This record gives sequence, C-alpha cells and structure tokens, in this order.
Amino acid sequence: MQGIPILQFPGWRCRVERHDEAHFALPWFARGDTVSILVAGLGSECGADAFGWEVLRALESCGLPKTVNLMLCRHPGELMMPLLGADSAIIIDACVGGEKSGMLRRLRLEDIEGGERQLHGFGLVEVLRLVMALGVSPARLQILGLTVATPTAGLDPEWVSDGVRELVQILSEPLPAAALSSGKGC
Amino acid sequence: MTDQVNPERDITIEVPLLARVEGEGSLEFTARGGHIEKLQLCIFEPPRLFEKFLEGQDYTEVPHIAARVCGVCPIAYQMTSIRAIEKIFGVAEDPWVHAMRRVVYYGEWLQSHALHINLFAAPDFLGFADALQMASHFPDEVRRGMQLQGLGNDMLRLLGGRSVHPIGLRVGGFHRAPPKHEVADLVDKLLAAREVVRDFAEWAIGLPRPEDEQDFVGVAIRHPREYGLNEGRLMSTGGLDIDFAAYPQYFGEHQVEHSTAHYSLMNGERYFLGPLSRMNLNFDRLPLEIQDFAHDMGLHFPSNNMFMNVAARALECYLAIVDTLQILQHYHLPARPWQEFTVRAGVGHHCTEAPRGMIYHRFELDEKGRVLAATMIPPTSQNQACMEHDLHVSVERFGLHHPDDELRSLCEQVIRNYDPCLSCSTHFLKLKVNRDSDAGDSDPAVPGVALPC
Repeated sequence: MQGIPILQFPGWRCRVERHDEAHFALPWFARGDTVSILVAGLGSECGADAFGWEVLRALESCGLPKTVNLMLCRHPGELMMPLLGADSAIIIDACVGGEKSGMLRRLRLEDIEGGERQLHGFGLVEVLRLVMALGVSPARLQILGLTVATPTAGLDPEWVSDGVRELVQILSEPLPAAALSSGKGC
Repeated sequence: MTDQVNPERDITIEVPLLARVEGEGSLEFTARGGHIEKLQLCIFEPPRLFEKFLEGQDYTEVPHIAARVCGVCPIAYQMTSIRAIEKIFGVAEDPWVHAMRRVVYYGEWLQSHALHINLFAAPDFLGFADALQMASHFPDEVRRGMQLQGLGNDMLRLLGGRSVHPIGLRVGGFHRAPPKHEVADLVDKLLAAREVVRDFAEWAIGLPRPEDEQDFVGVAIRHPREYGLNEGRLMSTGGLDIDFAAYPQYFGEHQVEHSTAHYSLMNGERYFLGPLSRMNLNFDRLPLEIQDFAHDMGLHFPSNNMFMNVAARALECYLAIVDTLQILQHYHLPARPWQEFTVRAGVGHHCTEAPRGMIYHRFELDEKGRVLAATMIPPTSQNQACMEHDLHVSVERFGLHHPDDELRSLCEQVIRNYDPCLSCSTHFLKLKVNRDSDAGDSDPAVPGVALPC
C-alpha cells in the first residue's frame, strides 16, 4: 500500500513516509528489559475498520523486538488472555465518532464506554473492565483510536502512516512505572 | 429474606430485550389471581435471510456465508452445511478429515462452554451481579476459565485459520493440513491444560446449582463409538432413532404470534437440545477417565435437573481436551487434506451438535453445484418451546409471592441455562412492571440479546 511506512527495528531508524525520516528512541527495549508488549489491532479487512490491521501489517516487516507481540484481532474477546499475559498493551482500533475522519486519539476507557456492545454483550469495554478486575493496571493499557465519520468509511493510506507514526511515538515514550513493577498482566 | 408480596396481585412484566448483534428477544409475563396467564419468550430476531442469500450461490461459497449466521458457533453452521452438501456429492468422510473435524468442533465447544460457565452461569450460582463482580472475588477461577476459552480458540485456529469465522473448512475437508510442529505446539498446550480442565470441571460441577427437575424429552446425536458431535443418528430419550435425512418427517416448524423465530416441535411436542440432552444420551460414549470423574463427583446421567446443563457443559470441556489430545497425539500429515468428489444435483441433510444443541441443515443443489434451496434450523429456535415451558414451571414452583425483581432474576437464570446466545450480562433482562394493585412500580426496559443460534 502506498504511503505505508517502512520501519527498521532495532536501531529505531524509521522511515515513516517516503519523504519523512525520523528517529525514534525506544526506551522500553533500549534498557534491555524483557518487558512484553502486546500491540493488538482490532478490526477486519473492511474499509476503515482495517485501520488497526494495516498499521500492524506495516509494522510486521520491521524487525520488531521479540518482546513486542503483534496481534490481529477480530473480536475483543480474543484479547482477554493476551492482555493478562502481557506487561503492557496498546490496542489500535477505528471508532465512529463525531469528529472528522482521520483524527488519531489516545483514548481512555471512559472515552469508549457506552459504545455498541458485541457478541455476548462483551465488547472492548467489557473486556478491559474484566482484565482490570483481574489485576491489570489501567496505566499499562493504551488505546489508539482512529475516528471515522461513518461505519462505512474507507481507509485512507495516510491514516495508516499517521497511525504507525503515533504508535512508534507511544513505544518511544517512557513505559509507565507500573509496567515494570510486577509480573505478567499488563 | 425478602418480603413476600401478594401472590394474587395482578402482575404484568414486560421485558423488551434489545440487542444489535444477531437477534432480539423479550419476555412477557402476566399473572392474575395467583395464576400465570401469559409467560412468553418472544424472539423478535429480525429476518436474517441467510437461507435466501444462499440461493444461487456456488457450493464453495456456502461454508463462508453460513459461518456468518453466528459469531459464537460458526463451525456448527459451516460443518453442517458442508456435510449436507457432501451427502449430495456422495462423499464418505475420510478418517483423517473426520478426526480433524472433531478437533475444530471441540475447539468451538471449549471456547463457548468455558465462556458460558465462567462468565455467565457462575455469577448466577454464586450470587454475583455479573462476571466483573465475581472476578474480583474469584480471580484465579476466572483466569482459568479464560485460559480454557483461549485454548478453544487455539484449537479453532489450528484448522480454521482464525477463531472468528474460520476459513479453513471446505467441502471435502480442509484447505490446509497443519504442519506437525503446529500440532505439536497445540498438543503441549493441551497436555498442560489437562489438569486445568479437570479442576475447572470440578469447580463448575460443585457450583451451588438449583434443583429443577422437569419432564422433558432430550434429543441429540448418538454415534456407535464416539460422543455424538458431527456424525451418527438422531436419537431422543423418548425412543426416537432416525437418520438425519428423516428429520423433516418428525420435526416441524410453526409460527406463533409473539415471536418471529419459528417454533419447532417433534411429533407435535416440545423437546430439549443441548449439553444435558447430549450427556443423557451419550454418557457411555465418554472416555472412561471422564465417566469415572463424573461418578466421583456424584453425577448421575440421565438427569432431569435442567441445571445439570452446566455440569454437562463442564464434562464436555473435559471431553474436548481429552479427545483432542487422543486425536492429535497420533497426528499424521495426509496426502491431501480434502477428498475428491463429483459435483452433482440433489438434496442433502445433515445434523451436528452446536455447543448449545443440535442444528439441522438441508441443501438442494443443481447439477452445477448452485444452491436451489437451503434450510438451516438452529438450536435456539428448536429450544424455544421448551424454554417457555421451563419458565412456566419454574415460576410456578418459585411462587408469585416473590417480588418482581426476584421473578425477573429467576427468569433470567432459566433462560441463561440454555446458553441461547443471549447477551449474558446478568442485567440482560430489565423489567417493566405494571400491577393494577401496585401501580407505579416500573422500570425502564432494555439491554442486549444476541440470538444467533
């Protein structure tokens, strides 16, 4: 797909767009910790719903550290065990919102509450609440959302580039202290 | 102890369940003078139209379209349609294909049953409002159930390619035979889970389930050697013993005013599908290890306690792992993971056991393999008459002297016991209560139901 960034790990030299090179420091890995990070793309092959998958596909060929696990996910229920097994997690999803399409937002749980529930009444909110009830710290969970105006919106390749750039930015930021304080479970 | 209320009061309970997943249902309950006047489970599932969508489609498209009927049990729809079509093409199942079909179907059972027991049934039995509340008191138990659910998804992925709407199944067999290293990885997980599932089953069987003895006729698949799953004959605890092709002669659907889902009757009578009926008809087909375990746990089958459904589900989780291990520990790569066949016109019937009960498919194809007609009868609609009867009996036994919220809670529990793909939050039923004698006691309606199967 044109516009999808090419990233090289390790070394953190990332070409995010054809004319835009950037360097990223990734302190989570640079310190040599064995922190496992789950990066989950939630969606499908269809239109803007493919956002999370396309971002992960762009990352997949970049030689990510072994401690980063990429997961293409069709239903939030699939995330439950992986979230419990990771030290930290980033979930990438497209969401229908009032803002203009293509806006990237770092979301909190309360931002996505009240949305449509899914199979068995278990949507992303219910899954996150459940894993938190099982001890997962909210500080170790991040949600990266792409707003789209309608559920039938198509996917702009630029949004994927933006998503990768933002994801790498998240990975570049200091890991929340909570993520390093205990064993598995985000 | 709650205060009793006048059992002869006029009670009108309306439960308009709304769901956006794959169907909608509600409950209407009216009692006057101490007697139930109306107690109806109204499934107002919008027309799914899948049978019409399938008309004109090539047979190769059928498994992928049929899977979309249900996000929880797509294998049931895929497998049943594939086998019905194979009957037309004269395909006799190859042993390798048959065994792998059991593995992928067991994966669906395990993920569905573990989810139901862990997050939907257990909070009922333990007195929690929902799974979240239970998780804070029983975190290890909830994690264990989720681990088994995840293992079920792994089993689905091995042969289906993915756990939601798998794509690995085709008429004739599978698109791909998993390489030995993938099978070995799964065998390692299954071996590690053997004790886990035993503990899980012990815990589930030990839950303080209600006693609810009812008179019912159970219907399930029975196989000469295996636990009824994807091949065999259709049998009932009342003596039915028929080939799948004879289904239309014994089972009939009809419409009722209060539900868009068809009701099914067997020879004009309600019948009961699901894990308890399977167990009642197939206990002797369980591996001895599981039969012994059940006896040690004090279980006896056949049982007429409706809430033994959860115990039967737990035993089927155990079975899923033991039987899958037995199959995969002797895994070999086939020359080809599918069988050759000749496309031809005809009519084929097949039944399999979805997690929540038997599913029947009938396909009629033309000489090019295009679908002329499709019939797919899911377990939830077949169980609907039984659910209504069960609700009626349970409410009468419980007594109308209980407050409305307790009546509502009972109804929820009875319905959930069937695992009818309803949205299973304990708040899935909200009641609107209007009593002539107690006007003003009302509640808003809503939340979710999914009735995909």
